[in-house]
Amino acid sequence: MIISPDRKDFSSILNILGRLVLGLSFFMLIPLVTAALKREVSPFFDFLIGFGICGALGFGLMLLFPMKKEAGWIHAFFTVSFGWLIFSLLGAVPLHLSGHFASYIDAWFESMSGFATTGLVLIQDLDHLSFAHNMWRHLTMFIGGQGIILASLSILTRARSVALGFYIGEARQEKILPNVVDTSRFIWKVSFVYMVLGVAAFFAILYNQGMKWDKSFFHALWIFFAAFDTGGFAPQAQNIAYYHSPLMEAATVVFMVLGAINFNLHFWLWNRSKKEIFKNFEIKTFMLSLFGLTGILYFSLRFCGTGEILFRKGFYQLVSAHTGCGFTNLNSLGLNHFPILGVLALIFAMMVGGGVCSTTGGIKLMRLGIIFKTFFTEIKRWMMPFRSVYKDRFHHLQDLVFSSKRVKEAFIYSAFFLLTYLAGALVAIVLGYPASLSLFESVSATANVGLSVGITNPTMPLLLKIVYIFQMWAGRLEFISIFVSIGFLLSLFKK
Amino acid sequence: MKKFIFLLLIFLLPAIVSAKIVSLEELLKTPENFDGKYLQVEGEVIGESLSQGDGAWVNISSSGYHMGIFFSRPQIIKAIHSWGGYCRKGDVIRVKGKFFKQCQQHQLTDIHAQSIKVIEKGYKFPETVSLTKIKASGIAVVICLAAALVYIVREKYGRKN
Repeated sequence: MIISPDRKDFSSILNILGRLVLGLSFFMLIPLVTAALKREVSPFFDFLIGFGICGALGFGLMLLFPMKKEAGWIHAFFTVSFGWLIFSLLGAVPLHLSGHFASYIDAWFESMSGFATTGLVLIQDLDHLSFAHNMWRHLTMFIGGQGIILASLSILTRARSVALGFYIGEARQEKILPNVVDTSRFIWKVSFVYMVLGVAAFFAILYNQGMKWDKSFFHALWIFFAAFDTGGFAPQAQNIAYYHSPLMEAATVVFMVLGAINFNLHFWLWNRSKKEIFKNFEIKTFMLSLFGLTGILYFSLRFCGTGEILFRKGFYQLVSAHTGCGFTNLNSLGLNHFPILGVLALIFAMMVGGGVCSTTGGIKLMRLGIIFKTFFTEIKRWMMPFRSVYKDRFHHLQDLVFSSKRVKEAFIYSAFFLLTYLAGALVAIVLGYPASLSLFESVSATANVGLSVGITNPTMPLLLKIVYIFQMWAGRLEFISIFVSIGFLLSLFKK
Repeated sequence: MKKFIFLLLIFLLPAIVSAKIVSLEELLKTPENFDGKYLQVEGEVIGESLSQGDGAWVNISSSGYHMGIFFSRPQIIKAIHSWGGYCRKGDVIRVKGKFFKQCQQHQLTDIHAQSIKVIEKGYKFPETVSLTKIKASGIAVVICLAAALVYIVREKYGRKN
C-alpha cells in the first residue's frame, strides 16, 4: 500500500518550508552586514529587500499553515525537494537586483548553481560586482554544501525524529553519530575548523602577493567556501587564474580534496584511527581513478611541455573535476583547446565525483568501486567450482560484505546519473552544440562540478538554462527525494 | 656586451614597434597563431597588481575575455592609477609584449609586457540607488516585522489557550 499525503500533510510541509525560509532570511543578514561594512549602499538595499521578502514569506507560511501532523518521511522528502527550489528562487532576489544578470532566470541559475555547489555562472561583469553580492554567491555554496535543510532544522525545530529523513533526502547515505542532529553538528564543527585553517592559508598567500588586508580576508574566505564545499565560484571572472599563483593552486587542491572526502572518514581520522586512510575503500578507489586518469590526461597533453606545465594545466583541472569543485586556472576557452582524450578523462572524473556523505556530486567513489568490484567478483565466481560460495568484502570504516542490496543501490543511482548526463547532452545537441561539448557541460551541471567549455553563458537558449537548473537540482539531491515527492503527488490522482 | 645588446635591440625593435593590435577574443580563440609573437592588446585593468618573485601580474579584461600580463619590471605599472572593481572603472591600457600560449616560465598562457600606455583613464562612478528600491525594501521589512509580530502574539496566546 502506498501512503498518500492529505491536506494536513501539506499544511505541515508548508509550515516547515516557512521555518526554512525564515532561516534563509537570517543568512541574508551576513551580506547585509558586509554591505554596511564596505559602505556599499545599493547592495545594502538589495539584501534588505531579500531579507524582508524571506522573513515575510517565512512568517506568512508559518501563520497560514500550522503544523497539523508530526513531521514524518513524507514531509521530509517534500521539504527537501521543494526547499531547494524555493531557496534558489529566493536567493536569486538580491542577485537579480544587483543588475549583473540579463534576466531573473539567469539569477535563479546562479543561485541554484551556488546552493547545489555547482559553480556554473551566468553573471555578467563579475569583476565589478560588490563585496556583498560576492559574499552571498559564496555563502550559498557553504550553506548548500553543508546541507541547509538539516542544518536549519537542527537549529530551528525540535523535529529530531524526522531528521534522518532530511539527512537522507539531502543525499547523505551514512550517519556518523547515532543521532543525525549530532552528525550534522559534527559536520559543521569539522567545517569550521577547516575554515579557520583554510582562511589563514589563503589570506597569507594573497596578502603576500600584495592584496590589501581586507580584500585578502574576503577572497580567502570565499575561496575557502568554494574549495571546501566543492562549489567552484570565485570572486573574479578568471576564477583561480586571476591569482597567477602556483601556491594558491596547491592550497586549493588540498581543500578541494578535503571537501571531497566522506565526512564519516573525517570523523574516523579525527577521533579514531588515522590508519583508516590507508585501508578505506573510497580512498583506494579515488587513488586508482585519479592515477589512471592522470596517466590518460598526461598522455593526451604530452606535447604541451614540461612536468610543471602538465601539473598546472592538466592535474589541476583533473583534481577540480574529480572533487566536483570546478575551479580552473586556465583562461576562458582554455578547456576548449584540450585534446579529445583529455576532455574524455575530465568528463569521466566529473561523472564519478568524490565520496558519499561529502559535498561533491556525481555517481560517487563508493558506487564506482562497488560496480567495478562486482564485475571482478562475477568473473571470479565463474572461474570457481559450480557449488562454491564466494563472498567478497571491502573495508569502509569496518569490514563489509558485498550484499546484493548495496550492489543494486549502486547500479540504480549510477543509472539515474548516466541517464541524466545523456538527457542533458541530448538537449544541447538538439539545440545545435557539438556532442563532446554538450556531454561535458551536461555532466558538469548534473555532477555539480562547474567546469565549462563555454556553453554556459548568458546568451545560451532559455530551454538549456532550465534544463541545467533541473540537472543541478536533481544531481545535488541524488534524484530519490524528487522522485519520491513526484510519486506522492501522483498518488493524489489515484485517490 | 654593449654591442650585443645594441644588435639585439636593432633586431627586436622593429618587431616590438610594428606589433599589431590583437583583440583578447581573437588571441584566446586562436592562440596558436600568435604563440611567441610580439603583439599589442588592449583592455581594462582589473583588481590590483599581484606580485610574484621580482615581477608582477596585471589582469586585463575586454569584451568578457581576460588575460594575465606579466611585468618583469613592476615599476612600469605605476602608470596605472585606476583599477577596475565595484563602482570603479579601471584604466584601459595598451600593452606591448610577447605572447606565450604555453609560457615556460609561468606554465600557462600569458603575455610578457615590455611597455604599457594608458589610452583611457579610469574613474570612480557614484552609486545610484533608485527610489523604488528604497521604497520596496521599506515595504518588505515592514511586512516582515508585522508578520513576525502577529506570529509571536499568536504563539504566546495560542500556548496559553
